[in-house]
Amino acid sequence: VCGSPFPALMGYYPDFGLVSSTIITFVDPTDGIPAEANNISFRLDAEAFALYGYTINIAFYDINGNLISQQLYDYTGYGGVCGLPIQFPSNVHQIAITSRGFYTWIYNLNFQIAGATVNTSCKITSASFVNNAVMVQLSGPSGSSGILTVTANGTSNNYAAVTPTEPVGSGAYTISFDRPNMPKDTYTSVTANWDVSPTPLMDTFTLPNNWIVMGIIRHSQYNTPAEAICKGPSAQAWVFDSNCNFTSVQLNSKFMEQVYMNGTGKSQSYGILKYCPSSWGGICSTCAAKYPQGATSQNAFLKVASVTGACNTELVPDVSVATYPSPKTNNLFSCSDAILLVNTKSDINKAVKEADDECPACNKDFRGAQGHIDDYSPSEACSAHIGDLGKFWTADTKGESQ
Amino acid sequence: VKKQLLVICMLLGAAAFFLMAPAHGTEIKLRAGGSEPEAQDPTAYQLDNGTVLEISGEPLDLQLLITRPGIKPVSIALPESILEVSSIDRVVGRQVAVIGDAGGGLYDVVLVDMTQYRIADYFMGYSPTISPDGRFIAFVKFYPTHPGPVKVSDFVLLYDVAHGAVNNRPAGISIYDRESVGTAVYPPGIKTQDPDSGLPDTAISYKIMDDDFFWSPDSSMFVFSAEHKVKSDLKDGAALIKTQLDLVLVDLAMPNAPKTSVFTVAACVGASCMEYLKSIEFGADSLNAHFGGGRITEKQRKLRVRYDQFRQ
Repeated sequence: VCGSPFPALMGYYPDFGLVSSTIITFVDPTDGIPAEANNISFRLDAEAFALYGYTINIAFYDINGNLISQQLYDYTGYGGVCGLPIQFPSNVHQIAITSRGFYTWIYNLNFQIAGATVNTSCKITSASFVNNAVMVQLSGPSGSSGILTVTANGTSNNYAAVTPTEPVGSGAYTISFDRPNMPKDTYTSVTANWDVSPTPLMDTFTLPNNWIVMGIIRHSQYNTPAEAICKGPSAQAWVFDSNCNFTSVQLNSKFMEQVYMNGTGKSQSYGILKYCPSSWGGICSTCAAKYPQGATSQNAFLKVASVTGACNTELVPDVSVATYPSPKTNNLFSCSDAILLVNTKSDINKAVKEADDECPACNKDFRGAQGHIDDYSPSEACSAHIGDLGKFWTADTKGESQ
Repeated sequence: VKKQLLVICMLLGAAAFFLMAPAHGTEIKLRAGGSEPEAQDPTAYQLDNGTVLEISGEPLDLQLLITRPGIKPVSIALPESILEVSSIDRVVGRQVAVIGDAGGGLYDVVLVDMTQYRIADYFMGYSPTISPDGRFIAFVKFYPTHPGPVKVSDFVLLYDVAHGAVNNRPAGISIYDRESVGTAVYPPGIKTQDPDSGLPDTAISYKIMDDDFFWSPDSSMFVFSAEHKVKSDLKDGAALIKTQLDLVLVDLAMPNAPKTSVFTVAACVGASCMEYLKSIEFGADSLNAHFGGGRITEKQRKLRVRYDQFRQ
């Protein structure tokens, strides 16, 4: 009837002609011990539903149960009461709202526990680079406000997040960064500053995983060349197992070329084949000494169970990436690091990938970008390399992958 | 008679090609935008005498079509590993160098004999860079683009275009070998045919940090930056990995005996300095080197080094 916000904080629907009550009791929120409150306010609306006497009585009690004051409102006839004009005393422990013949409800309850200090605080509760969300909790006395700024702290620069331009009051805020313009750096913490009077507040959140921003990176793509896609003639070849058992076979010439250049390939009839020159030692060296006549490292390949990268784990299409330096050196990248790709224009995540392999030549060939990463692709092609995935703002978020 | 006339025409055409053509034709470079082999337009390289070199076909099946007024077009199949052609340059010995992107930073270098319209030589490597006079090609020796867990090292080799396929390979190495090509110039002490992948853990791994090699305008020397791990110190009982960043100068005053010398720029903590050369200015008695990257000081990033400060 009053355009009251819905739902109400509390209220009741009395039985016809009977009396019903709402009791508000103040306690210390930390331990539940009875307490008194000051600066109380709430809005009370009511609607009459009968033609005889309608009353609302509001009584205030202190912590000892003594009545401080009470206000009786007596109305006649149908109708509503919007925002009952209540006088709120101080040091109230309990409020009893009793009515007859009314629906009654209250909302916008405000109060301050007597004797309690109102904690003013600015706290970063979490920070996610992948979700681009820094959660900031601000709290202070009613009416307090100030400009909120959030920065990511790197080893050579501090980068400001996008924050409201107007002063903000108590509440929870989700702050994000304009990631594509974030400079290349290693960021170790995030700081929030709330310029609130009389004393500005600050909180620094140490990132559980550093954010290593690499800048705009060229993402080329590689795959495991598939013989089934290769056109052209076949030629004499050999496949061998880890016991140096050689089998004379025919393999597509282009496919063999690609296995030699890339390091691995998927044959039509013999599974995954690996380039295995004598200089690579171990099985490669042992079996090279037993090459059949005509066999060379470029036409005799080792059969392996799966395609593995420098980290000795199976490569996953659309997930694994190859980097320089190698992730196994733990220099910049480490094995299984999450690699975040973000669209440079929209700031929307393209993917979160994983450092699983080495790309020895990715320290060059940037083609206008600030770095180069080779992404393992599910593409079925004869060639080991296909067109680029594109240029993306890229960061190593270490353990943060979602 | 027709055959004789054809041969005469071809000889006259070839002579005109090299007499009339400038040192370099209309150079093409396709390396800026990223690799998009599916989107590569037909690529043409035109010389002033009317000869047109045109790339056509699909990735892994590209052809170089040579057309010239009065001569029947000749089509040369390029190596099957080329995804897209990156550049075509005139080089000495009546040849052109076609450099093709094979993916993963690897390039095919194809030398085409323009008198007989055939491939004179073909090899693979990283960062192939032709000297301004078209005589030399500096490059990093081939290894597979994704070798897995094996250790690799960059070896810098120098191809002398004036010497042909046979003389650019060590004795006993076939002219069809695409790896062991040219003269080894860096790191010190290596041979062209030494393996650069699958190295033992004890071997020092060298890394060339630049996209291309920096040639002096007169082609008498080239410069690049390289890094390698050095003996680690102990810190708190744990090995501290250090990397040394060097500026390397290869002097070709005697082309058949290149002299390699090194100037140490910095030592960085970690397995890489992550630095690369942005530019080099060659002076009479010194050079100015400008690095870009992240782990050396501003002072180290802009260097003036006298040639006599390089040590062999």
